[in-house]
Amino acid sequence: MFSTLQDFTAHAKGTSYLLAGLILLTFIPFWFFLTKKGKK
Amino acid sequence: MNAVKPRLITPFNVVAGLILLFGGVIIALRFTQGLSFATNLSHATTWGLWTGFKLVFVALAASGYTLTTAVYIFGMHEYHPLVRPSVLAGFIGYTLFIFILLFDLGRAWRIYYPFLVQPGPTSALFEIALCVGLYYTTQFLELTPIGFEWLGMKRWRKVFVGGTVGMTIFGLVLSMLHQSTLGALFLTVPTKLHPLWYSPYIPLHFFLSSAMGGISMVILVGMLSKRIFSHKMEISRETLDKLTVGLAKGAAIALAVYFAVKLVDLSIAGKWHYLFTPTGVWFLFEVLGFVLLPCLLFAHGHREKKPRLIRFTALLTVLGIILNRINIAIVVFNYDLPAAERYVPHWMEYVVVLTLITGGVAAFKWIVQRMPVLHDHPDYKASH
Repeated sequence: MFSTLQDFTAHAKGTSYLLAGLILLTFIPFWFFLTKKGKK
Repeated sequence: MNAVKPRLITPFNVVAGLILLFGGVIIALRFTQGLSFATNLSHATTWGLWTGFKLVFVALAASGYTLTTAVYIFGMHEYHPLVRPSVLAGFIGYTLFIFILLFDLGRAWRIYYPFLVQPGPTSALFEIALCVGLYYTTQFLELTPIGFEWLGMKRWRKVFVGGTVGMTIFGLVLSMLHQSTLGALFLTVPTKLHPLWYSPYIPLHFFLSSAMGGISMVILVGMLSKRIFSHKMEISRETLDKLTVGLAKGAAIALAVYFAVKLVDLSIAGKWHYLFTPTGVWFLFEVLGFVLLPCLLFAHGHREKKPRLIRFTALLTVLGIILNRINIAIVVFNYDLPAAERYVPHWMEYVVVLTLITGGVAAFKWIVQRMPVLHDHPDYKASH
């Protein structure tokens, strides 16, 4: 079990770390899409 | 508005009456003949369809805590017209949970044991019993102003309305505790539950999915109330559409977070290879069809202001919650047992579930037709 972000970065497999980062990045365009900021 | 007197003989009442009558006989048989007569449960499989629907009822009853939190804690007062029907739907959900728990317990008459006789404070079940008991009481107190308005008891109404914010905070804390602990129950069966559904984070999965189920239920309750009780509901179709579009944003975010947590969980535990099995395809059907797809549809519906699409998506999400809980409780539980030894629910178990759902809908209808749930009581319009 990971209780903190430090636990996660220290013990998660490299791919999981990358995946979590990618998901966090994906949330940015998702948020813009949801809040209409990207709509022309 | 209240001049229309409800008729007793209607198609709904007749069908519901027949189901309740037949279901009542089956429930009587369960109590007189025992669990082995009415269910296919065994010592190998002690959690069956009724346990699955306990999880479903509690997850969908999250409509109460999600909306009261939005309105009374985050100050989204525009959603206030939907608070009472949502809390009532949640209260009825918990009532169904308690009923089905009583049917599922071997010795139902010992329901008070966890509180008074043998409290086991280190047990997940003790925490669930305590939290559900307290939250059920809290929801009842949250609903008492409706009854007091109906009965004309102004002083008592004032007392209980004064405690709304406190009860909301208390209810939110209790909901976070027991929604997640229902998932924690499955931490005790790591070898019985399929690895794609089992996770050390399953309490988090249960809590997050309850939030998205709760918001979806608010959308559906609002739609059905407007469609069936339009003469009782004060807010206009346009206002309801606007609220529905707003709720879709919250639902999309909840679903996106849940999907992300499920995805990271697959990676942390190294479960990718399970996806290329028949059970993996079933898992993908659940996660892509009832989590990712609704997330995108909610986002699209919110952005383009499409209330009809959002209502359809809310139904899809609720079906997804039912699928998830039934998968965990039945379909992928004891997954490695030979087919001949696998649990298949008895037909009486289905009848009891149908009876309870019918009873819940009938109770909601009875209350809404009589009490100020969908409209403001004329004496208290200014205070809402």
